[in-house]
Amino acid sequence: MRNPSLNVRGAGLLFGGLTLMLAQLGWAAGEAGNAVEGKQLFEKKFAAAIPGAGEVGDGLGPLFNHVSCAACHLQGGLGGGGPVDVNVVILSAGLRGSRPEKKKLVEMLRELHPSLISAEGEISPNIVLHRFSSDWRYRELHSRFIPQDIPLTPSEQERHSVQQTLARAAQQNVNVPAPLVMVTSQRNSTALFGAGQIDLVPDAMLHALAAQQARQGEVSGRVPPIGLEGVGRFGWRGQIEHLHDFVLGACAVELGLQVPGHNQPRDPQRPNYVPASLDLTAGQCASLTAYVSSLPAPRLVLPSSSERKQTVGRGRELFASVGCAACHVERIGPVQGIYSDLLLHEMGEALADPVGAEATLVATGKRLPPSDELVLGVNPKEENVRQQLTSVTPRPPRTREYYGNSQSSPLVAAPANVLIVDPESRERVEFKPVVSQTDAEWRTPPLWGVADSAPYLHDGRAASVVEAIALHGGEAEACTKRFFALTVADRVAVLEFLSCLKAPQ
Amino acid sequence: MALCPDSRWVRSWPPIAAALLVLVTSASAVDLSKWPGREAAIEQARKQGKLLLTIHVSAEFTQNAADSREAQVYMQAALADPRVEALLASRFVPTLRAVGETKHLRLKRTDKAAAQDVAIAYVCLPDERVLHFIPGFLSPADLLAELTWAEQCYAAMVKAPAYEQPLAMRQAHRARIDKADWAAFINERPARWSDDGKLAEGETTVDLPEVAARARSVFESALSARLPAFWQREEAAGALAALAAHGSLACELAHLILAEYPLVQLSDVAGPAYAATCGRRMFNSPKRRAELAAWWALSGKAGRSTLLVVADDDFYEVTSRDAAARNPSSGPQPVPRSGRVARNVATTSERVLEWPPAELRDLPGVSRLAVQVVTLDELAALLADSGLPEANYTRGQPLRYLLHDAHGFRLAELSGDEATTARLAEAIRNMDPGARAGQLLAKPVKNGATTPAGGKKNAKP
Repeated sequence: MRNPSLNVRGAGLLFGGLTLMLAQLGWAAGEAGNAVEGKQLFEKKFAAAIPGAGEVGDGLGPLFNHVSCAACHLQGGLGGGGPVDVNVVILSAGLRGSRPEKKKLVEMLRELHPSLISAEGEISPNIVLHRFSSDWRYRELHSRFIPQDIPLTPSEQERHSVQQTLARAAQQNVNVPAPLVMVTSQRNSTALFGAGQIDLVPDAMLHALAAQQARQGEVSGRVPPIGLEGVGRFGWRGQIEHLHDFVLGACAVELGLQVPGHNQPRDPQRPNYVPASLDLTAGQCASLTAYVSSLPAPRLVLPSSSERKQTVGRGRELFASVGCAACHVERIGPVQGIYSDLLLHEMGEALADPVGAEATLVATGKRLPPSDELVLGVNPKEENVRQQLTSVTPRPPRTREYYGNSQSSPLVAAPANVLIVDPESRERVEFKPVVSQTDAEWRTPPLWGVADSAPYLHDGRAASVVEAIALHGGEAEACTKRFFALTVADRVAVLEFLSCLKAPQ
Repeated sequence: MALCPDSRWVRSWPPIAAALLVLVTSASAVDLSKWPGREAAIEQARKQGKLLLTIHVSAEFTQNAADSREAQVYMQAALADPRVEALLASRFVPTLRAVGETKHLRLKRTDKAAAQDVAIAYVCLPDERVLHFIPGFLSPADLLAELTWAEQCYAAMVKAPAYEQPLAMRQAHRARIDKADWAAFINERPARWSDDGKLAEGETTVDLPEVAARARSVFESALSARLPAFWQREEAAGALAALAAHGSLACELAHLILAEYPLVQLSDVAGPAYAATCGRRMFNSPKRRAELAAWWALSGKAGRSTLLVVADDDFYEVTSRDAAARNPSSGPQPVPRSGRVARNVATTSERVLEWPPAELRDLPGVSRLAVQVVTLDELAALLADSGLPEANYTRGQPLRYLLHDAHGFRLAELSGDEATTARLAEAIRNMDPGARAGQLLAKPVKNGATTPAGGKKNAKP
């Protein structure tokens, strides 16, 4: 079967390079007006409507993590990463022991947190546990899982304390009735600098990098899949394909804004509430994306003294020689200085959490005769998911949530094989999702701007770069050990080099 | 251009001036060799009303610290930043000191994996009472943050009456300690301070090494809990030491120690803090260094053989007692210390090994020797300064006696079990040229040997 993504790979490399060059030359100038509006929206403090209090608001909530994009993207300048106190908390339900009958299970979960059950009555094992709500009754629900609130504007000491707590117990177990188990995990806000360039990296370049790593054998990056043919570029699990979706998803999930294609989270107090209108128009959303896309890329700022320049140069060489550069590649095509391959790498059990990466679909070799129907999600137990073929380039259903998928959760049915119609032969080809280790796979975070984006790792458990390195396991284990086998002077040189990767001014 | 208040020039001058300042300051690198020595720094700090920043690096202590690789690494890592330079120039008097071991003393050990180069910056009052200490080769940003915190604490502390200042500093350190760590820290032994801010046991610092070791243990547990399982035991020790060597992670260690000993004298805390940071003994240039070198030279000129009696060492005594407690069969040896009866803690049998000996007849010939009782620091400095061959010092089997002839030829090196009065007496007897010639023909003996230790050419005093 012809794989559409493979067919466009060569052209993609050329096209991607050209578009990126154009973008850098001011191709986005046509959207400059939008970017100005987008900046205003990025900084805007939205207000929540408060039922019964006469507060109309402008779309914030009912559930939200903060009041503006800027509140969580501020380190090293507007658009930067977030400190650990604005981490997003994700609640993941699991099962220990025998599985109760489905109706009872649904009731138990709904009792714990209504959002664990979707509007369609399906189990959503991973949900964002929002920090705020416009409804005062939410406090009681929230405090079941997070007994102690983080101050809205914490002092440095309080922030340090939050980080240290997270560093020691990244995932907190929540006391829930058996056989359910519940853990909270977190996501640190990523810096958005250079996101416009990342958005333009062609799929083919990531496939080429993965193939190169497979040949060399030192590490084995996996292209973050979006269905069969898409490639994820954003998010800690590489779970979002394009910047526009990344931005709109954040508007919906973090701020509770109803935006085109992305629903605001369901209000646990009013689960049947459906917003009457959009909180941001499509034009405003485009402006917001245009602004984020226009954020400049971070830069390498070399020290002024020649002696320190030499140290940085040595650090850069050591960075490559110990193997860091196998994943943190300096350049992807025309995107210079990114220090990431944007691929998923298995990073060891210690960093795993239940909100996993998307599984890659691998052809099983089984082909069925032509049919007009595309059969999706065929599960031996639940053969109830069928969808009429409507597209020439069909995609399997997107079951991912904004922060990653829940394929490995014991509360949901095991991911099923899918049948996808070959557009040429019309044969139905079976694909199997490969889900192993998706909970421990993380997209290599770009190191550009790393000097201004502490804390580190997906949940900010590492306060410093050197601690983050120590926590690299899995594919990075050998490299980590090589780094720690260096002399202090050499390690200082590597850290000195990394300290030159700064946020744009 | 009119300089009216709303002129663009006036509004923009502060950033321009700041940029110029950065350019000027960044052009000038930190010159460690121009930093004053300890005494001069204290005097300068006192006169100028500044805080003292004493930086200890794990370089060979007998050499000039500014020339050491460790000092250069510290400079590159933490000091070569215009913001740090500006802060140091305006608010601190910095001084640098090498406190690492010397290659002239071979310290046999099994902790090679764990030990790392280390640097510790002490923020002190001009009388060397320690406000804060900052372990590690940390980044300028981390150093700035810690120095700023120390300054803020100092500013708050001086508002309190003198007798309440230690308590104010204790509270400042306590506030920065993770609750779980503090609970673990006081789990085995209660805090020295009562809840109402009084010292339970008075102002003694006798337990400081133990408190520092406990802080290290808490710090290590906290770090170990964070490390993934793939770090095997030995590797993990190295990783933990490396993490400690890189700074901010180890600051909690300082807070734990200084919460118990706020405003402690630098001379009291430096050794335990160094040992807690890198697991090794801090060496210090001794006050008698010049005196000993002169004594050595004089003895040589006078044609007198010399006997160096190495006094017990607190660092190794404590650690070897720990080892004995773990493994009673290999307990530490009784150790000579001036006028003291030592006890073999492993067997509880007492053996008199006083120095000087109660009965000189036990050691015939000793009166012919030039004798000095030296600390380990003094011994190491003397070996380095006088070009003597290296000596061995093993934890649990400490070096006791070094016997040299008038030409600096090492006649005996007695350690651990071999360091008995009888063996020493025998070695002194063998100093007789005839006996010595006979010994030289015999095969070399490791302990109490008559061959030059280390295989190096002996120096003539």
